[in-house]
Amino acid sequence: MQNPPPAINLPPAIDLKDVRLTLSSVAGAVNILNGVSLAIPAGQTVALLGPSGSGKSSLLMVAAGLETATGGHVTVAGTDITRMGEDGLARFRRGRVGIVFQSFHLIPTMTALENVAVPLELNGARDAFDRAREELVAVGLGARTDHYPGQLSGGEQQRVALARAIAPKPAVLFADEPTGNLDGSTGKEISDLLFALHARSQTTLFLVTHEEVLAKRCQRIVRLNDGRIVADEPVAA
Amino acid sequence: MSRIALAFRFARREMRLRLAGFRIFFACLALGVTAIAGVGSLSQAFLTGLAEQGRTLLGGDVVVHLVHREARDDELAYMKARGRISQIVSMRAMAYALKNGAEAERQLVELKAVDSAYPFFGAVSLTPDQKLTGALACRDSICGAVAEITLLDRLNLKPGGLIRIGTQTFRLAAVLNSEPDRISGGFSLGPHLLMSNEALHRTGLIVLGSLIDYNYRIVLPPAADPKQFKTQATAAFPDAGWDIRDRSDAAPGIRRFVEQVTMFLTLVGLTALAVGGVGAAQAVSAFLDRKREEIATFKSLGADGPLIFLIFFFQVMAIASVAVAVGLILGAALPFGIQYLYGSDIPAPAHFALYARPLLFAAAFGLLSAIACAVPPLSRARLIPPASLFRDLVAPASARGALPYLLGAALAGIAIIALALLLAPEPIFAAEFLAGIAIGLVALRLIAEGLRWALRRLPRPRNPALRLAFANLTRPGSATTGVVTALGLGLTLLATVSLLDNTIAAQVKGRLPALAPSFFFVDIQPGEAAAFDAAIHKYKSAQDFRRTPMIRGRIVSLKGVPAKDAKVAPAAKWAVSGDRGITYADTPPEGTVITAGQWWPANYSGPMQISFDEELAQGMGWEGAQ
Repeated sequence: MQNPPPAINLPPAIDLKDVRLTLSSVAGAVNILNGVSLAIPAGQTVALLGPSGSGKSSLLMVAAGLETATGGHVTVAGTDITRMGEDGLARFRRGRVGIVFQSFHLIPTMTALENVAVPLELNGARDAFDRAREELVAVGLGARTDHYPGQLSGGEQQRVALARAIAPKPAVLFADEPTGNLDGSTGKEISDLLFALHARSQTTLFLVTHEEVLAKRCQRIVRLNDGRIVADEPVAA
Repeated sequence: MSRIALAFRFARREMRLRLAGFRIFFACLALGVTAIAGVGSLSQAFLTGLAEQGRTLLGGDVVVHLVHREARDDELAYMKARGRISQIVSMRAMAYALKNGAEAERQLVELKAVDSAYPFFGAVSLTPDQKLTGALACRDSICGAVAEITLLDRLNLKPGGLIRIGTQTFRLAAVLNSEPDRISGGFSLGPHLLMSNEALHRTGLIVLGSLIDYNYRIVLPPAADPKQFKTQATAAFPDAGWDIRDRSDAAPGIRRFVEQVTMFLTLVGLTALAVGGVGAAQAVSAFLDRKREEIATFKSLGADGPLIFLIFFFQVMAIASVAVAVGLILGAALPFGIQYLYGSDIPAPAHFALYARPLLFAAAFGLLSAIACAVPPLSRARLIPPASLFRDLVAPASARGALPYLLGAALAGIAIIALALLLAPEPIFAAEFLAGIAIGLVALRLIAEGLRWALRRLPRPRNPALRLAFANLTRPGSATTGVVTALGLGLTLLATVSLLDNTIAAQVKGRLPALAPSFFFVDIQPGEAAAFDAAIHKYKSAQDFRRTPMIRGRIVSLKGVPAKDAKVAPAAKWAVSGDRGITYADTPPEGTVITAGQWWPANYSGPMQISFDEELAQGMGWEGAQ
């Protein structure tokens, strides 16, 4: 699948400068991120690779505004979110950030359609359900809109999660091991869908994975180890 | 879409699946509301019944009550000028069964002599059915009377049997099933007996010093105000010494009893809500623990803290509303159930209906309790970070919610207290009761924390089951504190009721003298004293016989101030509101302890002196008087 060329004239969709994250624990403070600086242009697809405990998911959380950095600066979609409080970050995410989780994290009491509509409703969209229905059709679940997560397979649940993340047309789409809980063929279907949706929406994709094959479908691979970027290279076409 | 509308919409979706874990929350709230609504509805049924039948119960719009004397001509003329009037004379007397012309069994009766106008309202029920005036008519030397079945049973008589009261012979013409004004008569020492005013005069019981109550029942014109009559009559005859009651408070004793029982049971209901509230807070905390992932997901999608709070607040309040509704339905049905089961045995008039006021108050108590208990744990939902979707983050169990939410919960608690005090006829008692609950809650929480602290410091047992149990009691977020507090408060309530019961029983037992009289005779006229003494001394079993002179009188002024205007403590008001028994003696009666001043010497003559009960003297401002 062909990736679109990066939009080099636009400001970075994600701009991290000397980002540090230290968490306290019973054993003492633990340094998770040790001065990460990274700029991702709008529309680019970036894979973050690294061994377990290298800080991949923590970097995604900080970039998505789910975690507040203890040092440095974080700018997403042109907004400096470094000093924002938790409620401010939640409101910032509306419509700007979409997240796909390894464990899907659909709301079990809502149908597929309602799950996809949630971020649209939070963003004040009057046509939330119409748009949600379109997104479900786009991920091949037009016939499953009224099904609850418990009635869907793992692959179908991740399709709903993808539709939910992309529905508000976010500036940045974060995906944390989106195929990690799926078997090989279903994982392939989901990754195909992820890149197809990216091709359609031209959004920035920040993908955390430990699969080289999946990472190589991105335009750029950033490697992380011990909370530091150890390699940042474009993927050969 | 507004935040509230959005939260409501999400909450409605969230509630599609069954809300497990809320059974105790639901049961506590429903039971507490049932108790308060049921007690309130029942109380309202009795108070409404009393108010609606005020005229019937009182026998008129107003009753002018005099002791010992009939109304003077000018007083009678004043009353007759203002409405229709009926005179009722009541006293206690001994009735003797006449069998074969001789006196046989005897029984103390509550005698009521009525005129032809009686009763103004309602009807007297007799068996066999007949008109009262006919039943009470005097023919030749025998007058008619009607009495309650208990008198006939105790005297072994049937309708038509003869009795003697005073010097007059009566034929018991019928059994008295009911009198419309019975309840306003107060405490009875014997069966009720009705006779005519003419017959009463024939008994010879109306002599100087006899304890006789004269009641003048007046039916006022429709536009007249009974309270105004009372004011004007008191002003017109300031020294009459009469007591005037109006139809708005026909049975004050019963009203006070109903109000006080209602207050106590409402406070017990509130305690049940407080006990349930502790469990409710635990249930909400556990519910939020189960919802952590959903809360974090909502936040990752852009829901801020206030929206999260509202989503789960609406859910908890929806459950609370259903519980309150169930409680209201059961509470409103309770009086009807009591009517169905015990309708014929209920001694007071009651109007069983749906009353909005007690149901509204019960609903307010229930919903405010739900808010006060649920908001503090709900406010902690805001603290669940979205990052917990990625790593196992635990918000500390001791974390406090934001101040505005805690203030909201505190306001709900204050509203409950204010409402309870507003409704209580004795707010000081209610305040003390609620303060007791608050102190109990704080003390039990401290005990629970102390228990956890001590368990943490104990060496871990080797037995794995015990070790696990100890660890579970002290782990972060354990229910130890809530369980200890709820169980403790529940047991405190049970112990309080049990202790109250024992204390009252012990007081009654403790106050009984070691050797109490077997019989107590009153109203022995001076001319009968010698004959009475002789009659008593015929009985060998009469080991200790004492006769004390006694007259009746009223306190008309205190320190020169008319009794009605004098400043008297509430606890002593009863002593100046009616006639009192007064005795005279050269020496203090046996067992008397003189706490101030000195008893007058034997054969004292000089300015009048009195000896007075110490507590009453204090209540009337005679403290330390010599």
